Amino acid sequence: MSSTTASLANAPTTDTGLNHAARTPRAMYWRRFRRNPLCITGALLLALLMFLAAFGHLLAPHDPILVNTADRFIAPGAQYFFGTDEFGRDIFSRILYGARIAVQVGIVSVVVAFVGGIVLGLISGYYSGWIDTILSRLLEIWLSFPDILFVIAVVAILGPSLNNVIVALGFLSIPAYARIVRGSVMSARQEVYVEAARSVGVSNARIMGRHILPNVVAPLIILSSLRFGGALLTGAGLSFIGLGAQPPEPEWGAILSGGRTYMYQAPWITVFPGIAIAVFVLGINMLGDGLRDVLDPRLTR
Amino acid sequence: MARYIINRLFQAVIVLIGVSIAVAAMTEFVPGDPALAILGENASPDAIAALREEMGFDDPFWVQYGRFIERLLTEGSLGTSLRTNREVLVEIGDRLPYTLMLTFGAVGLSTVLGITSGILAAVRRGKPTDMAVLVGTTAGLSVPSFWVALLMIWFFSIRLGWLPVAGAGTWQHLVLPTLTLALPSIATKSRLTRSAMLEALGQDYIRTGRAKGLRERRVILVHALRNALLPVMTIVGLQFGALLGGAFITEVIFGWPGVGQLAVNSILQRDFPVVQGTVLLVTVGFVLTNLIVDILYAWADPRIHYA
Amino acid sequence: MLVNGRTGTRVFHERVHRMTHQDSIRQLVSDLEHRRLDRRAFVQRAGALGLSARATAMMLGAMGVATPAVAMTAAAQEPGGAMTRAVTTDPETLDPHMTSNGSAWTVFTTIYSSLVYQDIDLTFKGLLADSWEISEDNLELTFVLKDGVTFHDGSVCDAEAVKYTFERLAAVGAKNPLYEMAQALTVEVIDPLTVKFIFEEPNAAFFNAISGGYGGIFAPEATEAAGDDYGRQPVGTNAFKLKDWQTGSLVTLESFPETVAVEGYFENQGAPYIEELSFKVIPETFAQVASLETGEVDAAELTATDLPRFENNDQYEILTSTDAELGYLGLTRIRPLMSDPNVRKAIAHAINRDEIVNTIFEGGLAEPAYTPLPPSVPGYDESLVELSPQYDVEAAKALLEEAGWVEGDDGIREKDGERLAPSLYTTTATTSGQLATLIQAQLRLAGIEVEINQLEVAALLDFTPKGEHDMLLLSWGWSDPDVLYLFLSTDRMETSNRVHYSNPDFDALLVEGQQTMDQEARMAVYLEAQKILLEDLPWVPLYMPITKLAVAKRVQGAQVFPTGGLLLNDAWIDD
Repeated sequence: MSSTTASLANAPTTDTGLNHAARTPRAMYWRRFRRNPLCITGALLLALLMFLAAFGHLLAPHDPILVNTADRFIAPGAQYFFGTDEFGRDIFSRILYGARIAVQVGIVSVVVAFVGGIVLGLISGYYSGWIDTILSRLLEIWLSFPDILFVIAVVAILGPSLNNVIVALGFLSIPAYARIVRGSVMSARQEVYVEAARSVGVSNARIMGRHILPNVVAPLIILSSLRFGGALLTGAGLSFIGLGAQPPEPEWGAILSGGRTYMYQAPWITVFPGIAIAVFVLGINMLGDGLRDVLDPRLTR
Repeated sequence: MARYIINRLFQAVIVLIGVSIAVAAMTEFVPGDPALAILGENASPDAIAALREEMGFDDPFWVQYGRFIERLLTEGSLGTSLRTNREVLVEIGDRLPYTLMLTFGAVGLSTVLGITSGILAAVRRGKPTDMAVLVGTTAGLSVPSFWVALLMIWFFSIRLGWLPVAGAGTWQHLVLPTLTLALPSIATKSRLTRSAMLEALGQDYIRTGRAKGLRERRVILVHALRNALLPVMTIVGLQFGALLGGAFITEVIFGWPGVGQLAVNSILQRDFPVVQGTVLLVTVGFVLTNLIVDILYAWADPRIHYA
Repeated sequence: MLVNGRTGTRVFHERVHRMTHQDSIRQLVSDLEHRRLDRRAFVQRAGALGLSARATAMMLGAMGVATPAVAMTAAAQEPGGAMTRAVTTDPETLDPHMTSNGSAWTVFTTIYSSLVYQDIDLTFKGLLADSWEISEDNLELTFVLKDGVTFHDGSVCDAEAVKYTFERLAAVGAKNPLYEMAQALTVEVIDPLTVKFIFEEPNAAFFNAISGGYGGIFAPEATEAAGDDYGRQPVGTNAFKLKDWQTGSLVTLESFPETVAVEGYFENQGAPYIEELSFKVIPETFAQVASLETGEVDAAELTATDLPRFENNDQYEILTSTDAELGYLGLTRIRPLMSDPNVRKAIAHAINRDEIVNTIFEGGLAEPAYTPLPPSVPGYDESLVELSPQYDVEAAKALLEEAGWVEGDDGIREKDGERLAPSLYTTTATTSGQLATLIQAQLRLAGIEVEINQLEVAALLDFTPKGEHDMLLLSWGWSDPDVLYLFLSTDRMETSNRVHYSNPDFDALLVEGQQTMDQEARMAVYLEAQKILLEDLPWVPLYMPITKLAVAKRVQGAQVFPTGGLLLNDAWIDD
């Protein structure tokens, strides 16, 4: 995931074309969106995930954390659609409940990174000069700092819980966002209309909010969609190390990581959450990719 | 150009100092007494106190950091590992070749596959091939890497018996970890290549070339691809820098003796001198690869110039 | 022998049918009585049945079997060949004074030998020592060393080497479990083959402590010459010496042709048949077992899920040992929720150990433990089992009612508006998470809501001294009853007494146990100490792990010590 982000962060920033692409840009984007199979597939999968997050608990046939050692390792079938784990818990119900956690992981980490990245990126890009130099170095230090050490520190200070880990993940993605925003701001700053606004005495805050921010929204949306999926994968990776969801929370990565001991005996414990993660991350990535096509004017020819 | 590079290197030193201070400060906040972590559960209070005293763990972090800098400047040493009593540089040096092997392997493989599939997708834009490339490469980006690694062991090593499960030493040992690491980054490179190619193919000079009757293959490979390579290069640089820090999960599963295991185990066991050393290694890697990429950029694209 | 403390246990698997288990033991005893089995085969089979070393030794004693067995298949034992064993982490250093790492222990016990070793009947016999004498006041111990023992570098193992080793241990060995003991000790050289240990106080755990790798004797010159790099150039007197070490990946040892000090339980009293012994670092258990299947390693510890696959496969031999280890649920009495004895007793009643063993250890890789010292540790006494609260949810509920905790609307008990929701802390190891999950479910049935917190080991060990945890899920490994001092004495309140338990009567017994040299009297002291613990319940004992090591059939004649440790001197490679 980090490489995807980096591509956006470092791609030569060009005018995104929001201001002079079509007469009614919104209509045009919508039309492109509808015609793009990636966007449609991705959006549908994302919608399904949101639906499961909202209503999954109503659909779940079993209690996702109820331990029933009489029904251990039951293969997928009519009673347990996706089978049961080593404690006799229903994998299907656990995955349904886990959808909400997945959405929570994605949204919280993206929002933290989004907000932090915009603030730092705007300041850095707009003021340039020594403020920019300091912030840029700070972001580089931030990027070099080991993720696991940071997560361990956060868990240690705030206590072990998935929420704390998610916030830490969001924090770690701030530099990626900040770099994109900074790049876009720096190119937008050169635009004639910004110069004009400044020359007539419009305040810096207003220029940033009204004239520059809209320019960076498109790449940020794309980045966020990709990061959303990335957060799910990183969460799964942290479960592998044992930092992350606390049992018996049915977080997908935790189910997957916990089931790896039983890959021979009960492959369904890992297969189903693995598929759930893959399908939704794929969907979100497709949406992000599609959005890049829709929003990128270079591809319209 | 020389001035630019000197300036960048100067800033790199500032970043290195910043990172090392951040890591040193973190030792203050991260709970876990290194003496306790090293001595383990059975240690007596006296033994713990003795080790703390010996290592100076009780001093405030800036005093410890001062000692670290002093040793670095006077002896050129990053200190010794609390677990093995060996020089941190030796510890890292033992593992660096393996990390470099894996890094070059993974970056190389994903770049080749990414660019090839990207060209294919661009040339067949809108056709089923385009879609297949997209879904195929994105799928690689969408699965948890440890899951892929376990499935590959099961399939290639146990079922087929083609490749060894774990260890290092032969090229066969390199295959599965390289694949695991390469898989997620193919998609990005493929997409970047595709869009850059599409853009380039629409340019006037390409049309001219075609009009002049240049062979299609030459148009694509020589003219269009050259443009497409720039953004891919950026990714390669960043990925290279990141992988120098090791790939913990992949290394753990395949028993690969790289820097990633060293870094994470040192964090978990509070072997702070080694943590400090591996972080500095990653930082140097990041800074240098970024610098090289930027210089290559300037060289490849004369429109970019540095003040 | 000191067993290295493990913080996370593995996940395991085997279904032992309890009925046939009993029958097998009966059969085994009968075979022994009729001398159908030699001593070694008996020990091996007893181990396979999960019998503790103590039980095995007692049975052997009762049968009057003491003579060494006859060679099994002498014909095929030709020197040569190599074998590889999987280990979980890099050994880090092979200087036993500088580490407490488990993999390091596994490797350096094959390199070093100590003055004495523990025999299968758990008594101590001379290894580098030929004989010894203990003074009347138990404060002086004089060893006479075996003549003609040389180190890997050719130097002679003499009294100076012994003195040097223990003085070095006292000076730099903070990571070695014998550090404190060595500091309270003076070593005198009487003559080249006689060395005297002078203690400040009688130490009943001394022999146990110095047997095994942690008490290994060093070669003074080689150690001094290597300096800081000694951990990479270890020199000992045991059957294998270091040949090559690829950091983080592979440690290769080669046999030491001049091996003379060999434990009495081996047939082969000379150099090992196996020429090269390697330890391959594979952290992930799935990959370890996969490597065993592909033949990349010849020996690996099995997880419970793998057991059926390997036990039904005649390509492997499964060697079973019962670890001197206990998994326990600690109850922190200084916490308000845990201060009421009835609550602690109720919790103990609500724990279903059989379910734990059958679920998490698949019935094969652990046994239920009811006493603070499990059957694999000296000091275990069967009479204590019935004093331990048994699984009885109704009794648990009644005790909680009595303590004033009444069931609320959601089934969780409350008292004065407070919910019975204790916090449970444990490590991030997979097994810890599973145990926590199951205990949470079991206590839920009694109306207790456990809140699980997993911390990585370093953070957890730093956290427990604060006393902010109601419950603690951990395990320890130690083969002497003095372990109770380590984890439950008032002296260790600041550090390893993680449940903040303090009882002066108990403390007094611990000191008595340390200084009582007569073994029978000593065990009687620990019997009393354990009675106090079962009353106060700072620990609810949960399980005693069992290790199953699968060895590929190309390695013949390998054995394990009943409490763990691969024994290779009789093994040979049959390709």
